[in-house]
Formats: sequence, structure tokens, C-alpha cells
Amino acid sequence: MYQRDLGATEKGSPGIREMVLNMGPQHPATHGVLRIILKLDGETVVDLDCDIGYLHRGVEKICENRPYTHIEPYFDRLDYVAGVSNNLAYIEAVEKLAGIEVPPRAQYIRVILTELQRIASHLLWLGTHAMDIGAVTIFLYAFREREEVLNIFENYFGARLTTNALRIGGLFYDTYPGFEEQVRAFCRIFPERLNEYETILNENRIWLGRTVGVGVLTAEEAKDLSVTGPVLRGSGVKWDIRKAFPYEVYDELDWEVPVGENGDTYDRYLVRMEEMRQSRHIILQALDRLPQGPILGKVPKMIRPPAGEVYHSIESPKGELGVYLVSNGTSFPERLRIRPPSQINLQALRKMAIGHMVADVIALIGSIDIVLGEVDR
Amino acid sequence: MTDKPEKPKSAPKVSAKKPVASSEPPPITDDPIVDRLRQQFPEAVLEAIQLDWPTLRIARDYILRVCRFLRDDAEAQFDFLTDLTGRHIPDAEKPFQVIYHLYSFPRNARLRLKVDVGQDEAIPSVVEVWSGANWMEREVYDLFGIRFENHPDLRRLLLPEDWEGHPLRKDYPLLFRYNRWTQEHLNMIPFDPEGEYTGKFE
Repeated sequence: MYQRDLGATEKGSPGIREMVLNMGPQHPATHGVLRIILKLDGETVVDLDCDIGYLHRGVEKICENRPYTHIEPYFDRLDYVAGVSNNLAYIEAVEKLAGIEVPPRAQYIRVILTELQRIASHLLWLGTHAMDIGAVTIFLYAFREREEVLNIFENYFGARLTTNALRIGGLFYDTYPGFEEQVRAFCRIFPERLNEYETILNENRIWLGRTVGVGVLTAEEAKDLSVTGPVLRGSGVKWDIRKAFPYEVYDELDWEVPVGENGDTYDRYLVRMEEMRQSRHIILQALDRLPQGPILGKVPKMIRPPAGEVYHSIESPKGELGVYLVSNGTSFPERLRIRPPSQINLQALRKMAIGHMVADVIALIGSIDIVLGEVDR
Repeated sequence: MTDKPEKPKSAPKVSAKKPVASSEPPPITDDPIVDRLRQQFPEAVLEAIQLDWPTLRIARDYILRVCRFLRDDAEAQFDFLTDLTGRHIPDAEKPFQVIYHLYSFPRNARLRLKVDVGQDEAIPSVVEVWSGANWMEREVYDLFGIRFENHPDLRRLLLPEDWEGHPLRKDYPLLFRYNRWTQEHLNMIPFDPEGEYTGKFE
């Protein structure tokens, strides 16, 4: 009923060699409730169709019926492994629309938190992606370090995933005593641990066999498909919103945008590994420059942005997370659109997978790094 | 914040008491791309104003040609469709709006296009210009019920194929528990084929 006509239903039975196979939604390698309908010739994918929406909760509709201050927790539950980044996209859009200034200390702490979140999200991606392909050890290693980040979050906000971290105009909490030491201690051990992962994977014959040349997406195709984030950079486009439209204090910090060359699964892996190193570099710089001062700007009790509209986007761990916000002058938004990076990146799966094996589809889903809470909203 | 938009409005005052009426955003007069667009399609650009990004209101029949022009033109180079979404304005003469956010990699610039769509009108699809528009248009069709002409595969994206109604329309209730689809598929209470499943606020 839901599937695109892949030649199996109305136009008679499939050809002698072709068959239609359903994958998901209850499939551990689809990272949630993604359903894929595959048309196969032997083990080769001829065509595929994604069926999404199993986790659709109507977040955009709910947000139109909530005051601005009540919306933030819904954003935690979009990309639930990168809550802080999601919060930031929404909070910054409201601040931009209402013209609220954020004190410098809050901006630096926001940068530290979002970069820690990027590391945590990429570590989860690394562990699950590698486990899908068959490397179980790396999963345990990656979750060990992710735990350190989540401990910092737990000490800071009292929550590990759904942090509800930021406030319009700044932050709710200042740093706890020992925050800086804990973050620095994490940054001290982290490069060594990254080298450990790379020792396991970078020259591993099985890993190379499963990732090199699999799911090649050229730069032109990636742009045409509106792909953003590490997937776009893996295809060799040096583009990052933190550089293109710097928000918070990213333009004061010194870091590099890693890019791949071939646009295959291996390059996307390398890009994300390097991004974690760069994130650590950003965190250390932000800690060195962390100013003293207030953490919350001047914010009215009722947020009522003037009638108008704004599109603001940030570089979330998955790609460009945009918020298009239309205000009608009351305390409820008129329209709130979330540009979900992993949903739009998921469109590229069809292009990547056709011509590859069924097992490569698993590797490609992991390589795009989807979170179904955000795909379905 | 370092990333402050160049807001043309007077600095917005945030009042705790009453909504602030914003002053009229200024029209764009000296943008070379808008001028080229007006030269190419004299009737396409209905309005050009400067919001957080340059915003153009485009006539519905021209949107596909305008998008192709903006992508291929040597000065515009909008080679990336960032976002495509819709909006429902029940009181307006044409109650729907489709909003495009374009981005240009070579020039690092954004542009917003808006197209007004009437109640039962369809709008040309831009999938042939940017393939990325495929799922975005399907989502707008799903949640707003705006049809896209010449879309290669216009089906609902998030909701089931046999769902009734389009949730992001303003007249669609927020709590819609007693609707036909959930009664038929989720066995919440016995399904009464004669029953009325119009939805109501709770």
C-alpha cells in the first residue's frame, strides 16, 4: 500500500531474477524505525524506496501551539543523540528574531557544549556504524568515551540526552565547580583514544573492503540532492556553516574543515574522525578564552518577537539544521519549520545504494548517520 | 551574537505587554540579480524585500523557470536548495505559500523565494532543477495538501497513504484522536463505519 511501484505488484510478477525484499522497520541496522523496500537482482540492489514516518509526532504542529519558552524540550527529542545542538538551532533562531543579545560567557559555554555534543554524537555513530559492519570491539571503545561526555552533561544539566540545555538569551546554569577540569581531562585522553580506534579500523582489511568505493557520491550529486554535513564534506565540498555563516564565537576560533576526496563510505568515516579532533581543538581554545561575566542576557518574561520571519541554521553533527520561524507578534509562533539534516541526507541513499550489495545498504545507512527522531519529527 | 542579521527594521523592542508592530521592510532596489531576473521575466517578480535574507515573491507560473534561471545564471549561481516548505494563511486571498531557501556555494549567499498558491491550485515542481526537492515537496504535499505538478513521485511522505486531512493546515485540530485512520488500524474502540470522524478540539 505504501510502497512505490517497484515492478512487483501491478505490472505482474517480478522478472525471473528480481525480487522485492522488505527491510525494517524492526531491523537493528536501520537505527530506529526506517523501512526500506529493496528490489534485488540476486544480491545486487536494483532499486530501493524508503518508507519513513513511523516516528512522526507532529512536532511542527505542536510548536505552533506552544509559547516560545515551552518549545525547547521538543527539540531535544528530534535528534535525541545530539540534544544540545538541536536546542542551539531553535534558541538562536528566536534570539535572532527577537534581537536578544547573548553575553560572551554564555556564547563560549554554548560552543564548548555543542562541540562536546558533536563528539558524543560522532562516537555513537562510530560505534553503531562499525558494529553494523561487524566490528564489535569498536562499539565498546566508542561508548566508553561517549560515557565521559554524557557524565559531563549529567553533572551540568542533570540529564544525559534530553538536556534542555540552553535558555533564550543565554544559559540557565553556570558551570559547576570542576567543569573545566573535567572537560580538560577528557580532552587530554581523547586523542589517544581516537588513535586507538584508528589503529583498529584504518588499515583493517575487512573495514577497507566494506567501505572503500562503497556508495560513492560525487560533489555535484551531493549538491543536487541538498546533502549537507559530513556527507557533503566526504564528497569533497569544503563547506561548513560554522565557517560560511559563523554563529556564536566560531569566527574567533581557529580550526580546519576536513574534507574527503572520493565521496565513499571510507571518506565519510575519515571526515567524521577528523571532525572529532577539530572539535576537541575548539573546546580547548574556548576553555582558554572563557571570560567571566553573566550567563543570561536581558530577556523579557514573555518572549514576543516582532512580526517577521527568520531562517537560521547551525552545523549540527548530522548536517545543516535549520529553523524557519515566522512570528505574528504574539507569544506563539505562526509557523516553525525544522530543516532536518538527516532526513534530507537520507534521500541520497537511493543514489548511493543502487548497484551495490544488500549488505552495503547497511553500511550506507550507517554512513549517512540518521536519527529517526529527526527524520520523522 | 556575532552572526547578527542586518535587520532593516528599527531595532526590535521586546515588550512584555503587547505585540510590537514591525515597520515595513525596505524593498530591494539595487540588487543585480533581482534586476537580471526582472529583465528576464518581467512579470515574475511581484515583490522584492530585504528581510534577514533577500526575499522575492514570485508568480506561481514562473517558479520553475525562475529557479532554473537562478541555478544556471553565471551571476546568481544558486546551485543548492537548502529548504522547501509551506505555510497556511487561512485569511489570505491565496491561502497557501510555498517557501524556497536557496544557497549559492560560489557566492556564499542565500535567497528566499515565496509563491502564493490558491485553495485548489497546484504549483510546478522544481525536482528537475534540484533533485533534493523530491522529499521536501512530498512533505509539503503530505502536511499541507499542496499539489506539485510534474513531480516524479508525489505520495505522502510521513503520514500513511490513506490518512485523511493535512495536519499543518490551521483548521486541522491539534488533538485529533477520533479520526478514521486510528479507528480502523489501531483498534482503540470498535470501528463504526457510520460514525462521524471529523475531529474536534479536546
